[in-house]
Amino acid sequence: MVTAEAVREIVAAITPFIGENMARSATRVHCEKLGIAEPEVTPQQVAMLISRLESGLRVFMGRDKATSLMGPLRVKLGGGS
Amino acid sequence: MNRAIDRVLWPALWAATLLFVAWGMAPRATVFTTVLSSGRLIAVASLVKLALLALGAAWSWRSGRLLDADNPVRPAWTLLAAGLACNVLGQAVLARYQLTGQESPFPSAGDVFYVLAYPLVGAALVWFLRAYNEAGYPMGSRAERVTLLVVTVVVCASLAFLVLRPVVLSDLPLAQKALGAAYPLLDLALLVPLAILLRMTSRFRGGSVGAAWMIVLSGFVFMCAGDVLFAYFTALGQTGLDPFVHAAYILAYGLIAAGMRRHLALVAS
Repeated sequence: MVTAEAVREIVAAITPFIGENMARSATRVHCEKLGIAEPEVTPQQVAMLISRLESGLRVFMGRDKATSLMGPLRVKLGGGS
Repeated sequence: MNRAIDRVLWPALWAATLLFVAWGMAPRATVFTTVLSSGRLIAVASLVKLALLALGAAWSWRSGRLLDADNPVRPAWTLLAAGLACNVLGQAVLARYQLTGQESPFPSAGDVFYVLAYPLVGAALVWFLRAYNEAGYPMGSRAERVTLLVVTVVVCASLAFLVLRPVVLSDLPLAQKALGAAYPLLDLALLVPLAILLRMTSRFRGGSVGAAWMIVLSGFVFMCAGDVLFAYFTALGQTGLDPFVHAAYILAYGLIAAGMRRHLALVAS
């Protein structure tokens, strides 16, 4: 899948909670750590990226709510269920 | 449910704050010498503060309980709830006097609870700082945080000098003087983690996490301002400025409660 598209979807999903600036910078930092680059990203990398961001959200909203927020994103981006 | 609470809480908070500011600005206005007499307004302030503090403590406690047992901020919510509960007890002690038209003694048994609240709230704020720092979010460089820490300490130390001078030089009895100095000092100490947490959570601006924290932390800043004003006015013997102190506390406790409610909404499904 196209990296930019995946990143845009993920940022859009978490922006209402942590704000656009933090959503973008947190996603960028995790992309760098996971070696995600343009132009393509693998489903495994998407799953890892979503998992990293989900664990960051848990601190604010708890495991269940973070999982339910990221669940549809996993399905949509093919990062596992 | 959240919207319903917001619809009541925010207008009530602004109305109560403005009422006390108006009382402070025009104490001889007819309304404040007849229907809303000084005794009644003090009783109203007492009940409003008690209710807001109790809501803040309950919502903070609930926010912690709804998080998973291994969530790193769960103990911080519990500490914060305990700190606010101490403030509830302190206010309840004062309410006994304020609701019966008696002058509140200073110091009183309530001060034991008010002082006890500081280490609990301070520990909670430091716990939040540590947990958020370890949550994997980009929070800026270490140098930036150290600079903020140093600047805050210097500003607080300068403020302490200005605020404590009239308290220390006043003719108040020793116990009043000691406690009058202790409150601003404890508040200024609390401002250090508050400033760092404000900076940290400002990175979440635009999101519900950032908004909730901004409201809670603004509340604590107003609480510190209320304590400093109280100590300052007491030392100067200016009791006519008490309405502004009530307004500062009502706004502080209201913001803390409203922010806690936002946090609870984040956790609750």
